[in-house]
Amino acid sequence: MQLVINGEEKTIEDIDTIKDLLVNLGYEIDSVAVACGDTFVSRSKYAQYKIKNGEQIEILQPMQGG
Amino acid sequence: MWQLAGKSLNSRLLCGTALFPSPQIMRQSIIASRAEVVTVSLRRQTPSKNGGSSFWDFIKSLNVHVLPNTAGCRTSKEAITVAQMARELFNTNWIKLEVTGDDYTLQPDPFALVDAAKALITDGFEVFPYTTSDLIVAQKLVDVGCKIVMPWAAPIGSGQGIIDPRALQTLRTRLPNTTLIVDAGIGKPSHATQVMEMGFDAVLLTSAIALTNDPENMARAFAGAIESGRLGFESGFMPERNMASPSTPTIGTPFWHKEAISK
Repeated sequence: MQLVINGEEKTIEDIDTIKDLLVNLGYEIDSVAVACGDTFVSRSKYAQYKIKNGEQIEILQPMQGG
Repeated sequence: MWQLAGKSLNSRLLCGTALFPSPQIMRQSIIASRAEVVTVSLRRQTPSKNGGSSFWDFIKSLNVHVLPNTAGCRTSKEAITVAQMARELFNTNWIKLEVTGDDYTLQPDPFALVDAAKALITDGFEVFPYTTSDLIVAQKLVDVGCKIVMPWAAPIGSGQGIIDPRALQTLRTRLPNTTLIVDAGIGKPSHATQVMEMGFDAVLLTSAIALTNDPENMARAFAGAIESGRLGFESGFMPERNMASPSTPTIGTPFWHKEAISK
């Protein structure tokens, strides 16, 4: 499956849901927030949300801010 | 003690967490500032760095309220999405709403800002909008439900101090029931004292503390400056006079002269 993850094109196989994607990439599920396209997807939906080919996904983590 | 979005706070200094030379200096500076609210953000990070969770654990250990921001967002939709992500990640409905309209000045886009504020308030957020000192934009933010407005003193990170004191004073006068926090452009403790003397409710600082030779001591200096300005405001200032008026009693003045000195 071709995806754009945090602005980078990636090919990732054998995934179906956001939960699959986060596990595949090595993220801790509790330490990220996710948006698909420009829409927020809550943590409670990671296991149900089916990722579509070509989708743009933002995976964000806490960072220092002003 | 004062109230900010339902929380009782002692300090009127809100402190950023960015730009410090090290996490340890950031921690020491936040403690020295006596800030009870710190700002944070969300960014893309690679999973191997694990930076996000360790930073978040670090902030949680400070036992302060967190105010996530939407820094870098350029549209209302982006800001709304980042706010929703922040709410889940930081477990708070507070959001420092930033929608950049110009990359050179980092001046907010007032139209997108108001649109996003309206949508986020409807969605249950406590919105802290970062804006300029424009009165009408601030009034529109209040009209859509913002109880807090955060005008700049000068552009973010410029350290210029109050570039338009009349505009800030007008905001304070025209919005007496809105919590007003000066958010950007402060460079020196005296700038912070000045805005607190105007009657602003609090000051949010990052660069003015983090980018100094001694952030911990500067944090301490700002804490004192903000407290001094507030105490001065609450005490009421003496009326200004055009002429001098002696403070020492004139009755019993030695070597009394009847005629005024006039040269």
